[in-house]
Amino acid sequence: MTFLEKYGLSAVGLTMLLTALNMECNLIIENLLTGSFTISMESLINAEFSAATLLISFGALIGRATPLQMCVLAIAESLFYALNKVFIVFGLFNAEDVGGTLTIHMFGALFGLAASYALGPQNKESASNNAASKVSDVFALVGTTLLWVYWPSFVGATESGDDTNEMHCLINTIMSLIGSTGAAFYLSQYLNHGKFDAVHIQNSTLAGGVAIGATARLAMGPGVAFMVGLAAGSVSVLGYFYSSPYLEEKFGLYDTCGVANLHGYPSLLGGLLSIFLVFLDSDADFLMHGIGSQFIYQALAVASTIVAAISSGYMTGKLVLGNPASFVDVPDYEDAVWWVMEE
Amino acid sequence: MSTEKSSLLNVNYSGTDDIAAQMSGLLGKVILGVQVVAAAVIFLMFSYDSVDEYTTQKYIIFRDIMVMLLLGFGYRKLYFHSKRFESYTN
Repeated sequence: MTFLEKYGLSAVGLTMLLTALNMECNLIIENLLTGSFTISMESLINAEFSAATLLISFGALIGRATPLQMCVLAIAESLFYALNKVFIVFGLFNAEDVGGTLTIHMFGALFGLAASYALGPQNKESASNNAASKVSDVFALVGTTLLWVYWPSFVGATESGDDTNEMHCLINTIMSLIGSTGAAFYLSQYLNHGKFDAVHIQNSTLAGGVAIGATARLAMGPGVAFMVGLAAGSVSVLGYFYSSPYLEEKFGLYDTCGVANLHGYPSLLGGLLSIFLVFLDSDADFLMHGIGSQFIYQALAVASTIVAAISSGYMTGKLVLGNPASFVDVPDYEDAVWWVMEE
Repeated sequence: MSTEKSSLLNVNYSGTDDIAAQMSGLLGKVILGVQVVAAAVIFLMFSYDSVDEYTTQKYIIFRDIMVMLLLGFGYRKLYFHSKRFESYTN
């Protein structure tokens, strides 16, 4: 998010603050919900997942919400995220979602977009602060490569105990990332008359990692994983090209980082594909339902996550962001408002 | 409402120090409140998990994800739709 020439300190600094706040809250909330009173590496990794969900939502709001508003949002989202994950997706439905396609990416994107919708359209003149320099653009691309390299660890994080499942997670994720990278580069130059668009490369190359999360440990075959990545990368680039401007112009839905395109559409694709892909590894011992019913629970988990994320995100957004009492008249995307700056 | 136009725009930021100062108390209370509650609850109710559950591999995964969160997400690209939409459609 250092893309913002005038908001780099806030992008990196608030990411740190919000990650810490959200992890603290999640350690308590999720452990209490699951009845665990020990802090383990696993509970810390689960807290990281919660923070990732928040940072995805932050992407839709960055620069527009104040640090105070984001802190309150971080606390609220840690609760809603844990409720959806513990009680609905893995509790009520026992759905398959090892890499967090539903619980992390879909929930985070829709929560953030609903909160952004509650905040209203971006019509401040300070919106012009949302600009890049070449240096900040390169930094953003470095951020993408870091995400790309570490994404398999993210997807396979909870599968470190079983070699077969871990291998499937890692190989499927890498194959999917390769596919989405190829698709993103191809479509980007195709839509831009032979030139690559940095936005597409910095985001859509990662879409494969988002989409494969729900089904990463299934023995679907590397070719299928690769095709999931191709589809996810394509959906993501097309989303940036067509959907984002449309949503902004028609509905006033301002999505600063384009989280709908990197996390929203690919997670929806991954969730819907999981309904069918469970048939490719019907004997898997980690699937909690028989093959005749697992696909139904996958569909229910997708639908319930959509409802939970949008309703909780909109409600929180209305209370925290759209509330006239919390409005402060400051320029957006401007570090000087919140940081001590050298004259 | 949040949809009103800013009177500060991006020309002169004099006065924004006051806004940060006005919000300082509440921001501090939220951050400090979470620290106090977390410290109290974790101190009183939580302990370490069994060492049998620990592997170095899990720590490496934790570290990998932390890099993703702090650097990957921190550096990630923002997107300014309106400008690009105009450039696409013109």
